[in-house]
Amino acid sequence: MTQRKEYKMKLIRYEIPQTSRFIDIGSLFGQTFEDFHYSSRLYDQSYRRNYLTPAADLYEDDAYFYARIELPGMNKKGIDVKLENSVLTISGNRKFIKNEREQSLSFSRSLSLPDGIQEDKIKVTYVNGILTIKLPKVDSSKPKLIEVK
Amino acid sequence: MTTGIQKDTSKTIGQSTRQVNYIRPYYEINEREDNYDVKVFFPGVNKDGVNISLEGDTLEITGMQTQKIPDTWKAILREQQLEDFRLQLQLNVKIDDGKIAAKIENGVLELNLPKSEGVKPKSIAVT
Repeated sequence: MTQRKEYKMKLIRYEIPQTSRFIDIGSLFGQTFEDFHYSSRLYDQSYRRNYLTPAADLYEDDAYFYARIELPGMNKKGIDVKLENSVLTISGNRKFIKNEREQSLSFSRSLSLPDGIQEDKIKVTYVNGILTIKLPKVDSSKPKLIEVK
Repeated sequence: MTTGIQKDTSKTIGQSTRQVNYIRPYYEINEREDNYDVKVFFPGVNKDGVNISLEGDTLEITGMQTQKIPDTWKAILREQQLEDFRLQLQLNVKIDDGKIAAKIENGVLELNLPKSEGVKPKSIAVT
């Protein structure tokens, strides 16, 4: 709740921390627990990727941000994409075969996005097991004028 | 000075000289009575990018990335390795290589490897 308030009251768009404008929430917490929980029994140890914490790439060009997430073997309808308080969350359920029995495990991945996204014009595509989210930037070349009353 | 280990170059002759780094994909194998079901996770690979070959008892599956990142995209966060995939499986059971079936959907390759007649379990009727 407090976070939401702060978000709404934020007036200044910080441009200073240029190191990484996207904060990977998964790397801040949770990942170590997941690694422990979903131990090697489910995964080939030699395999580096863990599709329960899907790997994500983020790119930008002049007009858009692009999030690329690997989600092989999913159904388009089974993927949930949510943007709330500048946090993009991708979640769903994944089926695994363990000891010859099918298991369903939920996955989730969150990414913190910078300000200046036109939230109503986001486009999501799912091709060849890759989820691509196209996030249009707000046209920052036109600064908003605030009328003095 | 030459090294003691000779690299087998016979297979690479004639192929492109670019250095190829492969990623080993995640995969699942399930044995059924008559066949093996193999699932290989190939995110970003479509039908044209898959190559399956069986040589002796080695099954080699490669998956080439078909969706390249446009040059105009500037990376902010990179976690994925956008490299091609290769999986080599050593088969210890005879496979009927004429009947291998494969399909790829949403970045998952499904292979059906039928066992050869000789290795299928047979029930023998008692007379």
